[in-house]
Amino acid sequence: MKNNYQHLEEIIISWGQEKKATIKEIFVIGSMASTNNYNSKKKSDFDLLIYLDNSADKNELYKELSIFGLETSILIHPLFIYESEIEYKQTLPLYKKAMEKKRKIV
Amino acid sequence: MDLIIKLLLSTLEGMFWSIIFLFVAFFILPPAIIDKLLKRLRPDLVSKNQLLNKFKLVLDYILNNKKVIIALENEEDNKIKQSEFQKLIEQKKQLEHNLFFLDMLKNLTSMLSFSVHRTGYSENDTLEIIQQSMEYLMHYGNQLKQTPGNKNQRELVYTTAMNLNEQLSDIFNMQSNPKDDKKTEEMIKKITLKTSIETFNSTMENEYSSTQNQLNQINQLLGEKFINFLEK
Repeated sequence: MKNNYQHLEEIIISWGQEKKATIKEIFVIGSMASTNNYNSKKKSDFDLLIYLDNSADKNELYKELSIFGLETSILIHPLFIYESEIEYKQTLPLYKKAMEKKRKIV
Repeated sequence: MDLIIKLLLSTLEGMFWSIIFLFVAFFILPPAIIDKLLKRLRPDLVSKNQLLNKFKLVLDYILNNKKVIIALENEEDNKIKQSEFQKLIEQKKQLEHNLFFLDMLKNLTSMLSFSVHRTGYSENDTLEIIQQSMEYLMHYGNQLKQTPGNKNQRELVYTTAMNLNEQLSDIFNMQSNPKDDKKTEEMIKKITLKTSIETFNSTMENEYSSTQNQLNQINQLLGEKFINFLEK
């Protein structure tokens, strides 16, 4: 039996694959980067790190992700980074720390 | 013949000990004395040596975030330069710290803004998601540091998140006591919440852009000061 987090991850994977032109990569970060926490009794948000093409419209993506969140009753917290900013942000300490334990799903 | 061999061996021994002494002196003697000696013997080496040392200091400041002590000949210049760099580096770190949390906040408030707009989902689900977001908003808001350019940023974000949370509690309380005459009031409160989230969202976007601009300016200033330091 799949739990809500597994279900949400599957939705996000197929969403990311559909949007290959705008979404370059998707990683799960934070506590859910470890799938062991999927069965934790403590409710947590679902942190995502999403690398975007420089021409991507973020508002459209927020809209779609908010629907997935409502469908699964999970708070999705994306961190969108445009391709042009990746190199710079990777050098900043807190971004670097957030990216340390990332799990690529798309 | 024996005398010549003895002379040669003594010369070699002398050269060997001179090299050893020079090598030890290089590490033991203060750099200023080495510099003075080198300036007399090989001035070309001195300028290269100083430039490389300065370059290493700059790299340590920028890449390794090290607290490097700059040793200039004049003690007063030394202190001024040191505190000037340290102050700018400190501001740069604070701005980088805030940039991350503002990025997290603006992404979360955008999600929140779109979640509140949605219809066709159970009110409880929507409100639960919003309530969870509030906890994170307050947490991120509380992480912001005071910077010379934005002294009240933390208070502004934290207070706004608290106000949103109170508005949300009001809506929750109304839901637990549903009466027909309360419906209009509940709707008004939801619209107020929606407007507040949108205002908060645009504030976060502005704060992020302003922090990014300040960071660009400080990087530019640091770059200019380091180049100046290298050239002198």
